[in-house]
Amino acid sequence: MAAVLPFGLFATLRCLTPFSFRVLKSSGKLAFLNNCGDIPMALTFQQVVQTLNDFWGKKGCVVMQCFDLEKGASTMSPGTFLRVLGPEPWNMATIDGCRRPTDGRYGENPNRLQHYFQYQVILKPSPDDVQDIYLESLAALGVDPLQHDIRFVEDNWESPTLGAWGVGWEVWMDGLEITQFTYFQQAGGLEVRPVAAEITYGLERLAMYLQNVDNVYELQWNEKVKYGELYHRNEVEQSTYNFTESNPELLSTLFTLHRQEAERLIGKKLVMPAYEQILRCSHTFNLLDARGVLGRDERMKTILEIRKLSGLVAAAFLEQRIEMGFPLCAENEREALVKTYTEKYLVSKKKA
Amino acid sequence: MPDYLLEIGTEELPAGQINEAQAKLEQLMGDSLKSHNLAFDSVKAMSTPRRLVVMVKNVQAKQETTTNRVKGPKVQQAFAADGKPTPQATGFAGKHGLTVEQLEREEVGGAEHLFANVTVVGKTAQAVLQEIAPGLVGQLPFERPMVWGSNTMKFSRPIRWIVSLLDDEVVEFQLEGLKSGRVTQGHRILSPGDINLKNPSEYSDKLKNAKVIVDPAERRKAIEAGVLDRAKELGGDARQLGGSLLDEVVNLTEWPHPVVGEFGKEYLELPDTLIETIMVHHQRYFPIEKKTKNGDDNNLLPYFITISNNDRKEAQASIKQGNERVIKARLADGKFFYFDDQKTKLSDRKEALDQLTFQEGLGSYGEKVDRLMMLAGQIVDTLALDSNVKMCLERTAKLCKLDLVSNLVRELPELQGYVGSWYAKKEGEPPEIVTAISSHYAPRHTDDGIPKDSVGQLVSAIDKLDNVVGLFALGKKPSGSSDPYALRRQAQGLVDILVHGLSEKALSVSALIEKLLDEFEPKLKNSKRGFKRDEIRAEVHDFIVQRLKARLLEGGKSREIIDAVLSIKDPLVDVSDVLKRLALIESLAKTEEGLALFRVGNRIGRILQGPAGDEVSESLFSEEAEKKLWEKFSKEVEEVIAKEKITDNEKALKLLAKVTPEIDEFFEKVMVNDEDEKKRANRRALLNRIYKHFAAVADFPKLQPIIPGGQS
Repeated sequence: MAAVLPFGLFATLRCLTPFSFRVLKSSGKLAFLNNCGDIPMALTFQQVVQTLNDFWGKKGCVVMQCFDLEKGASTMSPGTFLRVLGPEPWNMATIDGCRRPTDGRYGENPNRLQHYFQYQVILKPSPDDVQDIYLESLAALGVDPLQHDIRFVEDNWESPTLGAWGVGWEVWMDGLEITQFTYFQQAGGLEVRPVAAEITYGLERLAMYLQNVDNVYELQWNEKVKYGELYHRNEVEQSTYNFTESNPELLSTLFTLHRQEAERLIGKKLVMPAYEQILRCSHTFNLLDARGVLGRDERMKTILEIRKLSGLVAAAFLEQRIEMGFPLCAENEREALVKTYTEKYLVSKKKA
Repeated sequence: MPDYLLEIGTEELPAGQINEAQAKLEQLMGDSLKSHNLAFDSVKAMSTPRRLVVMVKNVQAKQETTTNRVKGPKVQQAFAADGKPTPQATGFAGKHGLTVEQLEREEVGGAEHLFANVTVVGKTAQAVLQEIAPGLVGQLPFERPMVWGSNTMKFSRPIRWIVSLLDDEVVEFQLEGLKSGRVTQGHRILSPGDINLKNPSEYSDKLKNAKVIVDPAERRKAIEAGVLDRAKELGGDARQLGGSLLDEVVNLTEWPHPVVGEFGKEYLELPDTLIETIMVHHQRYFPIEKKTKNGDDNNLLPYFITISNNDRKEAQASIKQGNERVIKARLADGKFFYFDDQKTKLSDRKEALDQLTFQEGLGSYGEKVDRLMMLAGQIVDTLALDSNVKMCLERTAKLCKLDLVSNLVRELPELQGYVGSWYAKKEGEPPEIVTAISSHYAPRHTDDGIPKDSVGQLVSAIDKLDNVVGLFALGKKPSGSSDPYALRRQAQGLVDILVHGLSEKALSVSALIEKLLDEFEPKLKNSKRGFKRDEIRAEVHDFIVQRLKARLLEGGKSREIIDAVLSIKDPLVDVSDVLKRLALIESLAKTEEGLALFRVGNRIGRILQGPAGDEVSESLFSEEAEKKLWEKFSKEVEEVIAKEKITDNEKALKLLAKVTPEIDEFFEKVMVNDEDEKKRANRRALLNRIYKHFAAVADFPKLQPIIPGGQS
């Protein structure tokens, strides 16, 4: 799914690895003073995550852990794509690993990675003061908005393969896009009501800004270990795999098997196993794409297949939540909501 | 009289939608007050990224109280035989709050009716505004309205507060959970917190104290002045101050403040267009160029001006540094691709182009290029082009799309064409080709002109035609306001090229359409949609001709002349010929001689409707006038034309002008529709021989409305 989103260094955060641009290799000198001087010590990468976990946890979010399958963006995690459906309130924060095989650069590009992290927050329904809360989170990270030029610049998002779209902004700090902010309007072809706000921080980019480094591998993960120590070798090897060592024939076979399995499991109403198969389809597709072996028509056909499956699994998830009686809704509203949703989604579906 | 202030406070609105919304708000407010009979002195809308505002000065405090005279039932039906009012009468009176005794009588249409004088007490401005205001909010047009939270109402971005003040009084209304009031917000970061407004007159000042300039015109002035000052300090001129960047930046800031940043001189070796695109489209910076410019695409200075929304002194250093880091990274990226791309020759990119979809159903860009080359070949065969133009045309068609698979265009699609032309230049292609690779995309936007070079014009014409025919064949023609593939602009561009660029060349668009249909037919005939060739041809043809007519009308030509000239043959076979004939008719319309030709042309054209032969037999003439006409026409027109081999319409009509007195005399003295069938046919044949020369120029009867006295 991911690979059909706009590709490119200049594209937006959401569509990409954490950086929409390349910085020349830096001297590698690490400044433990951030450039605005509002706090003495810049946060390490893990402190950034801890700070966000702590911040959003206190705001009432379920702090989840990385979803353990390959995905192109955190939007594809079930905690986002599925949980935004239906009437149930859902507040979640999580770090998520994301993969874009075609963005691999063998660890040579200081700004581009085929595996990177997003920090994803979902607030459903979107609170009235959601922008203020977001700015508070920047302050928690040591970014004093008074010292910067912070702007909310229009940026809308659409994923034809997920049957999803939303409107919102890229958040600019001194001209740098640090966050994607989206009001989800539709997912899996279904209306998202109430509307969910999705806040996606580009973690590497944010941390590079805070630590004032120009090369991602120079980021301090903690006080002693750098990002490069943890992920550089991974980038070299995975790039080699993505571009030369993967087996396209095997991948094609796997794609078909995952797709068939997804269809079979949707038939059995096993929502999560089916969704996982779709994610595997999507990643396998991205791997095939990285090899450049997908013909034009085949590519389009594949995208449409994934879109259809995403829609089916979204509908199956909603059906499941209806049957479970929307356990996250307020006790006194559940019955009425189940009735409304049954009429809207189940009865009409059966008629059709 | 009181002032009214309505402020819709929002989260940051899309910069590109604010101006239209502001204009609409002003118009709607004015119209609504007028239609509710409330007078006012002025209405003015304003906006920032976080608010749409409308201020009305001196609103009439109350509507006038008016009396309406309302017709009721006939008197006959209003009273029973005993003189008592019927339910009809009492009902009518009651409905208007009157008694039957208070009703008056008046005869209308021969019957006496009851009438009620109904007094309508004027509502207060407060009450009227309460009715109007919420409706205004719902009527503002936005491209992609959204829903937020648990609401159901839609707006461009979430509405967070509403100020609605009629002098000191709140005009209360509610939009879902949100109540109107007197509390506004200042600058999000520089001046957070509620601001209480006593009345509308203190609005602008209070907001200025809270670091918000509400009037966009004022922000625009401040930004312009700031950019000019900074550019001057840097010893250069600011670019982009006249265009859409300024509009956008005005709508991205509430408290604009210019910040100058610098980047490494090593990036100045990149083409200005590349640097400028990165700066403008991606960062909204104003580029600075040298005071003295050379002719090349290489005049920028290593500075930029960004308009920040934060003017705090303490923040300036980090804002400058942050922006410099971003532009440096982006330029480094651009530079990397610019040089890395050049390691692969343009012509070696064809294989990749074969993998790039043009349109689903129409194949790849590689196939599109094959079509362009085929059409270029067709043009070369039909137009007398010199050998260099031929070569350039064919080579440009081959190269012009190859940059679509370069990394730089993949990253910065708006640079399509420019990139190809830079790379072609480096590869030593001739200047005509280098220019045409980029110019063939013109006009790139609504304010852009057609390509200035003739190779670019030809390639542009076939490229645009390929887009139009292809998308029509897919059924993706524009409808109403929806034109996602900008086909109207493409067709208009094509027409402009034909009218202004290729006005000397007999390029047959119709023949090219046929060629394209040949190409698309095998691709689409087995598709779900099928391929209705005749229908597609007619639609495309009509689409282009409509644009041609519109352009000619805009050029000040009269509708009658356009219709008369365009209707005699397919105008798309040769637009240059259409232009010549138009010019001829227009020049004739200015002379006595010409108007005489119009008169006789119209008369002959009318009488000739229906079939007519062209064999004239002198022995069948019986009237002096017809003999005289025939003699003069054959001697002074036909023989001259044959002898001097005249093919030019203008010369032929000049000759005919000499015969107009004889034609007039003919119509005066000769009855064309004679009872004798042979005589009649002979006379029609004579007129037909004459009219042939008119019919080659225009359908003269269509000119009747512009012939003096022609209406009678």
